[in-house]
Amino acid sequence: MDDSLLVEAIRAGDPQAPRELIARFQGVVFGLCHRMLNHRHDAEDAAQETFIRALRGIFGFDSSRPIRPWLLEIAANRCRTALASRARRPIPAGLGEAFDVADHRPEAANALDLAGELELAIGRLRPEYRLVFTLYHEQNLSYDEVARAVDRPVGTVKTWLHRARAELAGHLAERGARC
Amino acid sequence: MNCRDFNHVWNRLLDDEPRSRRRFDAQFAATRLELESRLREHAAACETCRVRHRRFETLQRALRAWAVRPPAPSPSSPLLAERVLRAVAPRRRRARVVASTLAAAVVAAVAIGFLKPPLRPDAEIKPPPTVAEPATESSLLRAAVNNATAASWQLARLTTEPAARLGREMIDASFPTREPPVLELALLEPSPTPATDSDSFAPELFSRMGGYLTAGVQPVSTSAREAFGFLRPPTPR
Repeated sequence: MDDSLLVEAIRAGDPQAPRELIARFQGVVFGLCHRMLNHRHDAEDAAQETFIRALRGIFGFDSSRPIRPWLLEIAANRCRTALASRARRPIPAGLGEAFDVADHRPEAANALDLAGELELAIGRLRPEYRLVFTLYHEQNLSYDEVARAVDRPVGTVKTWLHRARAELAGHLAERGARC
Repeated sequence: MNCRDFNHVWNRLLDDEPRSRRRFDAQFAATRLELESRLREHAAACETCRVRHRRFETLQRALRAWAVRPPAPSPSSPLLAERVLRAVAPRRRRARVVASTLAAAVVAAVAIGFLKPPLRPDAEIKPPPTVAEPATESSLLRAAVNNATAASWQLARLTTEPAARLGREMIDASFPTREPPVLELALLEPSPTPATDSDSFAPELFSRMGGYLTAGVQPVSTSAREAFGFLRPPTPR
C-alpha cells in the first residue's frame, strides 16, 4: 500500500491503517526527534505527540503532497516546542553536559571515527541550524520542504544550512579530524 | 574563480551530497569533477581558501561516512502505536464514560442519603468539605458526589422537619391528658390512656385521632387532617 492509499485508509476508519503509518514512519520521526533533543525519552514523547497530531489532523492533510515531509514538519514543530520548554526549566546540575552529547551509541563515542566526530559536532550546533542540517542531509528533504517544515523562507534556510556547514567544518578542524 | 565563488561552489557541491549518493549519471559526475577541479586550483593559489578547502573536504568525507551509519534504535512499534491510538481514541467514547460515571455517582449519593440515619430537626447542615486540588477528572467526580450528597441532605431536611412537626401535633392532640375541647367531650367517650399496653396503644390512638378529625378538632392543622383523613370513620349518607 503506498502512502496516499494509507492516508485514505486512515480516513476511511481502517483500524490497522494508523498502526501501519506508525510502523512505516516511526524510525524517520524518532530519528529527527532524537537528533534534535539528544534525549531518548524526550524523543519518544515528541515522536508520540507527532503521530497523535498527525492522526488527529489527517483530514486536513493535502493528500497530493507526500506524507513524509508533512510528518517531519510536525515532528520539527514538536521538537522546537520541547526545546523551548526545556530552555524555560532549569537543568539539574551535571546534566548540562549530557545534552551536549549527540548520541550514546558506541560507534558515535569513538573520537577517531569521522562520522562520530560529525555526530558530536552536530550536537553542538544551534537548534535551528541543527534542524535544517538534519532535515536536509539526514532526512533528504528539499530546500522547499525544509523551509515549510521550519516555517522560514528558502533564503533563510540556505543561509542557516551554509552557516551550519561552516561551523561543522570548524568543529571538525578543532577536534583534529582529517580526511 | 574568486573567494566568494569558492564558497558558493563548495556549498553547491555539499548541497548535492545527499543526491550524489543516489545519482549515477555521467553528466552529473562530470559536472562534479569539473567543479572540484576548479576548487582545487583556487585553493592552490589562495592561502585563506586553502584552509577552508581542507576543512570542507573533511566535512564532505564526514558526511559520506555519517550517511551510512546505522540509525538510532527507535522505540518498539506496537508500544508506540498503542499509546498513540489510545490518545486519539474518539473523544465521544471518553465523554460517555465520564457521563456514565457521574450518573452512577449521583445515584449512589442519593441512595446513601436515604440510607443514612434521619437528621435531627435542630441539627445544622454542614456544607460538604471542599478539597483544594487541581481540577482532574477524579476531583471533578468527587466534587459532583459531594454536591449530590449535600442536595440529598437538604431534601431530607426539608421534607422531614414538617413531617415530624405534623406527627407530633397529631400525637399531642390524641392524648387525653390535655384539656380537650368542648366539642370533643360531646362526641367521644373518654378512655384511659393505654400507654403501657403496647398491643392496644396504636389502634386506640388511631381511632381517637380519627374521631378528632371527624369532629374538626382544632389542634390538628388542616394539613394534618388531610394527611390523616383516611382514619376518619365512614360518613353516613
